[in-house]
Amino acid sequence: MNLNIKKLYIDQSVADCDETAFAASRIGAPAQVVTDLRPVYQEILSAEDPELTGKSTLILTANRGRFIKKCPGTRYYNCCGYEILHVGTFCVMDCSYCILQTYFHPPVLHYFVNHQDLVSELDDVFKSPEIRRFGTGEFTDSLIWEKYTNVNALLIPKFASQSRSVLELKTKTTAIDHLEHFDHNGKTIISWSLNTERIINSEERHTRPLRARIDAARKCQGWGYPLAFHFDPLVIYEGCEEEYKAVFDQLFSSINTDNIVWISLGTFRFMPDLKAVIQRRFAKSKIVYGEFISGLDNKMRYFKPLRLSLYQTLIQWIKAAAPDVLVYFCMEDDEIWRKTLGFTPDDRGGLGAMLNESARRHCRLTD
Amino acid sequence: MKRYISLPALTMYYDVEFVPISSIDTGDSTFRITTGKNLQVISRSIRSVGLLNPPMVAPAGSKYRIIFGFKRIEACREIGLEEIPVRMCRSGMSELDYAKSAILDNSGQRELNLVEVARSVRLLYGFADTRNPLPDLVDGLGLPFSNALILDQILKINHMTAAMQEGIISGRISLPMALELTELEGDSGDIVSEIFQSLNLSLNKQREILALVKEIALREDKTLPEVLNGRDVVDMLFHGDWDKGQRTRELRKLLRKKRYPEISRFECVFEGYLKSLRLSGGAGLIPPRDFEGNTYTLQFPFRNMRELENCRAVLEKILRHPETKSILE
Repeated sequence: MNLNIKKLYIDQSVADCDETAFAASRIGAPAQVVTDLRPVYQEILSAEDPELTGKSTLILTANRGRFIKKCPGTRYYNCCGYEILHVGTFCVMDCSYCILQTYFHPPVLHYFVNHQDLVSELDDVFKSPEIRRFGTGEFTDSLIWEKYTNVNALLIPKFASQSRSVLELKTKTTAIDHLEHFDHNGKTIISWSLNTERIINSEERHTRPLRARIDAARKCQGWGYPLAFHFDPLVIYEGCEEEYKAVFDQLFSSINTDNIVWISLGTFRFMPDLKAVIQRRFAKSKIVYGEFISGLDNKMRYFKPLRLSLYQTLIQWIKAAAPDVLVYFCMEDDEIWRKTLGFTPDDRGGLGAMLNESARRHCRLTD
Repeated sequence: MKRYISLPALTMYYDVEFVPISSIDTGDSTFRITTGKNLQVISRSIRSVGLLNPPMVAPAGSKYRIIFGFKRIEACREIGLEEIPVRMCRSGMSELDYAKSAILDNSGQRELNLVEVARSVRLLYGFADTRNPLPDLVDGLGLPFSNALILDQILKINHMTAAMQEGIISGRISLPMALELTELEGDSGDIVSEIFQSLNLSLNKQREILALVKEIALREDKTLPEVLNGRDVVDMLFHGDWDKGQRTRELRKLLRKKRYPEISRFECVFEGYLKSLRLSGGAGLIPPRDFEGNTYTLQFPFRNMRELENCRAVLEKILRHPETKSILE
């Protein structure tokens, strides 16, 4: 996975940092040291396609807030309780439905080089007696930085050295070569976001094909990593069920289901602002012309009976092929859980507890 | 250096003289601003008291081009006058002076409609440069806008079809909607505009219908005319027994059903259920918004014990209704 950075800015406050020097030397683009990032942001916002400009502009800077953030779940829908390791922002791949296009203002690549602060936060976390789940794939793709930075070289051994927390690296890339030699101790889950060939081809620009993602997962399995898969966003279109079935068939014929820590399902949902961005940037995309309603979290979601029907079909197929794999819904309500899986998260101690238990089993965590 | 003359100085630049009406080139409408076509009032006035306000013309080869007074000249021709008094421009007047004279003559007589404003702004547009930006040229000519961004939008009216301009003049198509329709491919904008004008829709309803049609077209790989010329839509638009209000309601319902088939079907089922409940006394059963949440609301207005007792009966009816369970679950 190449970043193809055209403009590299270095925040003066981190200009002397080792990780800055490392990343800048790997990226190779001419670097400009800046004391004030506002003109950079302004330049991106005033570009004809700010999102595209943001994908080729990288800012090496410090995370001045917390590295660890709670997943921005909402009350009504069941949240997985995953914690975000905020190592960077935005992504070089270009998925039409990507919420990051409207989440960041401006949408631009940041990579946070103040790793000593990250380490310090993790040290505090690892003192906690509870099982906790962290991931870097919420505000960026976890593996796009692989060739250019040390972030995973830092995180994987760090998590390997403790036994109560697990790290999930979520990706649509196949940038896994560096992962082979890390002593991960089973504490890092490598996970892929999967979709049908049709959606990958029409909506996920510059991502790797389905087959390549599954092959990469199989390699990681061979290196002893626990795996996870996210079918999110599930997109409803005519014939989608059969096409998702084809994805499951490929997946389950390639991966030992005992190594799958969890599979998540979530139908496409988006903040209303994103619709105009998709219409502007992806004129041929039909993804926003489904039957959406405004959800209780104010995000646009498919009409519930449509979600329910798709989930029921998919769950049936997953359960037939992988009965013991934990399947969960990302941001769905109890009614969806009850009508598809026959129980609600609360019946099993909460979604967080269910995921912790699976992590404990697959990643050999101890309380 | 070119000198821009002000109105008081204009009198120095023309003479009033008589010219044969056949020498006036009525085919040159460069400076035509008026969209009015009715000559009745003006003809009556000329017949009654003569041509009080002579049109302005300028020599152009062997003929004269009209600077202002297009309708007056048409009326005189219609009346059969062979010679009329005109303001004849002297050679010192520039093209910009002609444009300003034309605008001032029109704006001084009446409030210009948007198409007339657009024609006026177009006359000045060619003279705008960095030293004389368009807002400065517009200033003082009695036009309602001088903001550069608005003038930019106004100028686009000149490129709209006659039908769209008619819609703007009649007030049935707002400027923002006309601009949006003009962006559509091919003749889509005119087809949509024709429907909007025939139904005399409010801007909100125009926006709703356009959004639905656009999204159906995009989803189904159709053009807008293909969606709008569908048999079902056409039947609705030309339904002989319906007035405009009914056609509008049915069109909106049809388009919504096409855009959101499953939601519409579900709403229809729920409506049928509500009808079969035959709730009385103002009682109501309100579903969760968009059927997303799980909370239904029952409304029981009552004023006394007897009406409260009735609520119990209504509740019993709901509980015993065979479809209640399937609706809720």
